[in-house]
Amino acid sequence: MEPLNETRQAPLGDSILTTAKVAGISAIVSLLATITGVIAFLTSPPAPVTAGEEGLEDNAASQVVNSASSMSVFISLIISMLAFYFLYRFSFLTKNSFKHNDRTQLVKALYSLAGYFRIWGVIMFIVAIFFSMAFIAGILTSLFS
Amino acid sequence: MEQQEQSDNILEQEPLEEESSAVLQISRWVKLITSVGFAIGTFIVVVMLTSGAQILRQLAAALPIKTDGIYGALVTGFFMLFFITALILYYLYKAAHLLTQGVKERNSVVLAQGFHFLKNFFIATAILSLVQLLINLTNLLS
Repeated sequence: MEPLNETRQAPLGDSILTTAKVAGISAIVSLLATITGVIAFLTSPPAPVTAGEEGLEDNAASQVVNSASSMSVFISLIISMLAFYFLYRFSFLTKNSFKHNDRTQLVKALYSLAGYFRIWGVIMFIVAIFFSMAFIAGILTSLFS
Repeated sequence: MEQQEQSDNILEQEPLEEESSAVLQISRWVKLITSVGFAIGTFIVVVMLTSGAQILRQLAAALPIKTDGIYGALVTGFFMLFFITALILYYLYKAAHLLTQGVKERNSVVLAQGFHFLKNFFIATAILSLVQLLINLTNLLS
């Protein structure tokens, strides 16, 4: 079997390797941004919404609104950590595969990159569903109001 | 030169079939992201064309900062965000297209171009994350 760093000459080998390096940096910066966001939220949380504001009718509704912001921060942290795991794994395994001439590691790295895009694909799909629901709700509201 | 071309054409080698299936999986998910992204973008364009001014005025009124020109800043911010998102989606679209084409044609040059567009996508996301990090740090320190 040919050594990996010989078979993967430029342009493909270089292209995969530089993509992996940039992806690793992007993963770290993205995780740092999310962590600082969570710390900023925990140290200075937004003023709680009281009943009467935002057209809320009772305290239960305002509690739901207040807990929703904490939930969204928690969910974004989980998504960010998952995305970091897959992207950093892609970066690490790709660099390792070129270093040790190990093709199986490169296959794992590429599947990790696919996993990273799978996460964003699913999220985008969920966002699209919410957009569609908002669109339908808007049409129904304009029809019945 | 010929030897390099031969060695570059890695997908013709038997042990790398798994790699091509992994690349195809990447391109499939990237294609889904771009399709959904362009659909959401179209929806946003339609909404902003019909009632964009009203939405941005309401948003400007709801912001805690009350200064002159906040509406203009919001419009500029929206356009900047819109074009950056469009650029990111373009990179992803090109990457998905070239990766699929590269695997089907077993052409390493096309595959390399696909990965080049993925690299551009990661550069764009890294810059956006850096901006977000700076904003968060400013909020933390203020």
